[in-house]
Amino acid sequence: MSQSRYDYDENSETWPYFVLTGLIVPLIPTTISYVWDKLSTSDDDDDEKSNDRTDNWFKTYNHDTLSKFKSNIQSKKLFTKKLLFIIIGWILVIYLCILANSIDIPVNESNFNPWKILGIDELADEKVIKTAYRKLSIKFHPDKVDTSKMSQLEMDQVDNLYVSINKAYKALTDETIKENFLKYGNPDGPSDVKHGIALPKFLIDGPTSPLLVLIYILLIAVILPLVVSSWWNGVKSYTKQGLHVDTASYFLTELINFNPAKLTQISTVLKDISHATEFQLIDKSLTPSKVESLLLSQINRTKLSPNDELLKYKVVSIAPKLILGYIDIASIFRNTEICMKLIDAHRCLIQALNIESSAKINKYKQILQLPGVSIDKLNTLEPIYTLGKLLKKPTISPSEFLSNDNYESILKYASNIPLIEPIDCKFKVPGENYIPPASNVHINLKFFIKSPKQLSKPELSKLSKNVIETQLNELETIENLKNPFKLVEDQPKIKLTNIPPYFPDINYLKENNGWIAFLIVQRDAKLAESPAFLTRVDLSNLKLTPDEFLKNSDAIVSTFKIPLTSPTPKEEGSFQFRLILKNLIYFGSDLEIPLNLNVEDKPITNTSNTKDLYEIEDPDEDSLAGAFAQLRGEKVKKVEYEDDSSDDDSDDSDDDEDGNDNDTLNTSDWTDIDTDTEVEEDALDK
Amino acid sequence: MTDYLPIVYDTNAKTLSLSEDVKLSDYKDLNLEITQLNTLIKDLINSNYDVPPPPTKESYTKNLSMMIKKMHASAVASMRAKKFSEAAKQFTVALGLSTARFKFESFQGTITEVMINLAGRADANMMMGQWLDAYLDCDLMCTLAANVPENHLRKGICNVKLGNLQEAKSDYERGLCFGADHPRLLGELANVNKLIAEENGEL
Repeated sequence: MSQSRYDYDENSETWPYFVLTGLIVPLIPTTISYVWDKLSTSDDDDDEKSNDRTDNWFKTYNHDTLSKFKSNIQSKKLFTKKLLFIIIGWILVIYLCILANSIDIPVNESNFNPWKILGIDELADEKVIKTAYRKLSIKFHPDKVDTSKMSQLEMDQVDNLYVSINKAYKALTDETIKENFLKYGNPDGPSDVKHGIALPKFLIDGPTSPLLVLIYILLIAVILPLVVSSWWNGVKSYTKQGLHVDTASYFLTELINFNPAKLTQISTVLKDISHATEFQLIDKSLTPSKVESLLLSQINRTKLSPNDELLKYKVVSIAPKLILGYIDIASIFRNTEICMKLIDAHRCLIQALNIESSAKINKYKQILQLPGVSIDKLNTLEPIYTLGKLLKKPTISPSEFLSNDNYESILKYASNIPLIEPIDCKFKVPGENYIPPASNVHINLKFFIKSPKQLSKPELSKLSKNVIETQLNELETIENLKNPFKLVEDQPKIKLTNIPPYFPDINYLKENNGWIAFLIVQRDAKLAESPAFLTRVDLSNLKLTPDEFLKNSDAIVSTFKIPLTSPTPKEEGSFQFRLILKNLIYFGSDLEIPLNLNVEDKPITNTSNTKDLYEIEDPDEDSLAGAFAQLRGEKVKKVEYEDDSSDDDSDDSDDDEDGNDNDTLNTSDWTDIDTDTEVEEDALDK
Repeated sequence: MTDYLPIVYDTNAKTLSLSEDVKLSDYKDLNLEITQLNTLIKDLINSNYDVPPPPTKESYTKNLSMMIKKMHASAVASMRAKKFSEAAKQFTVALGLSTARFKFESFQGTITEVMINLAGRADANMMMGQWLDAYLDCDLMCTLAANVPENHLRKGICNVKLGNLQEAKSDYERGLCFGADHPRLLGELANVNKLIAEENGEL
């Protein structure tokens, strides 16, 4: 290996650049994505501060352990591996930059810098170059330097220096040499192509070379396959919805063996969920029955031993995600019953409420989801079942009903729960005012977001002009027709207005608050489509006072559109559906609307006699298409011959069209023959 | 080695059963299938045919239908006489008869017979104010024959009485899909909408 054809990085001048490049390539994208994430979430954080934190006035039964767990999650979110990589990465970059800056690259063949040799600025003009050269050449001329006391080596150095000074001067003044220098970076013209390795020679040729070989082998034979296989396994073992494959297949078997004679309950779906493999990945000791008991203790609000309590939070944090995955699979089976129970289970886990434990809890579930309200303190003689009743027309004063000192905070929390007040809901085909058969249709729902404290809904005529023009009545502009969902996408992401106190993972709630929409066929009460999520809604209506909402024009209209994957039926008729919107977090914010799909087949009729501008013209008489059209008995455009007088020609063509006399027959016959032979000739040529 | 299912065959009774070595809770689904199979075998043995005749519209036990009709008639008579609990019992008996039909017969008549009796029992229960019992019958009727608006009307009324106003509303709306101008449904829908508004504090 001693006679290597490669240049090594003997003076350690190249490796900092090499390492710097290798470092910057992953570092910059990571930093950008990190900063982007931070910027996009910072808006939410601002809003959160403005919200009243429930912690201030209400503490859950497990407040100490729960808040510890929550802050753990938050700090984990703050100090991620990503952040560590970014910090260390940038420190290294700075260090390498300083290092690279301080490296003094000696002049040799490979880096010829005439300005540096002459000790002048790169922008210097010819005069300066000349004076610099003259000074140096006088100073270092072999005849002028006293070489008597020098060794051979020193003498050689002086000679070399003089040669390079000459070269540098020529490179800047002589035309041909200057061209060589600019082209090849070397005044001597093109030199051999050299390959450099950004590693010092001692690493390759010295005693450390086996080590390097070992590193190479490790990298290529062990680390690379390991990384690729672990990535591939990760891809393979999780479905698109982020469910573990084993979990998905368990859910699938449950649904295949679904027994319609058995009553589906929240407890049964929680039992299904408890078999998920994800729980075993958290802790090996988590058997399905253990997970089930932990989930039940969450909804029953029972306190466990500190250890189990921690496990419970971990289990409860990921259970809702599994429920959404289960819904996704159940919707393929069109199973409405399981989907509805799963949504209830989702809300029960988040609100820590077991609505199946007693009829009373089920009845008062909307009130019981509020923090600080419990069934034993509630005055259950009063028929206040809904948030609206509690805030607008309570039969007794709320403080008496809730028997809680913080009833004002509770009412504020309640008034921040968004409700949907529908305005209009219909099927829509972009650009049509009816539903043609076999067309791509979407559901268009217009609604107000309102607080439970707000009464009724504002009259549409009282809305501001801007709202009516842009949000209520969509203009059929090209943009809107091209992408009818743009209006929905332009709405802001739903912000979390309240923090449900019992659920351990706030980040999940931030990502998954909103409504899930099911479209159900009325005939068989099964799902028509996979569920859609309503995640983009402007909640600013919540902040309006009841008067502002009702009388002034500040209310905002929101839009939700659900594309249907299957086209409308091919035959005319009326098809009944039911649209169900269920809130993922709160009870009492659901919506059910019956929907009618009227498929009509209106033939396109030309009401006026004016010619359609975009109509396809009749083919020319003497073209192949024209010949075939004539054979089919369709109209063709007559050929106008230039040498004929225009008057005659127009007469002729009029006659032809009207009479279809012998003349035209002849011509058409001839054209037929002509075109035929042409085709045949073509075929023969080929 | 193949794993065999833990099934035991009793040659005397000509029935299958789950082996006693295993826990019943582990094999719930298997046990259900065994019971179903036993019912079929019993019917097959009782039919006195090697191969049961193909189920046609005509070939069914007409005697049973007569009995069901008589039972139904007397139940209706009890309803007229306002003896609702007695009527409910008679409807239950008629229901038992109609479900006890020979399993290899034409199934066509069974649904209608079951429906008539279920409707009768639901009405009797509703008259007595047994809303939960009535609701369960109505729920079954809505599954068996969704296109009859009256079924949804019954279910909706039960839901109103049980306090589930939103569910009642969607029941009425679903009923209206199958009979758009059903006057009673329209009336009840307007009624329940008012109740919902009241419950939400809107009125």
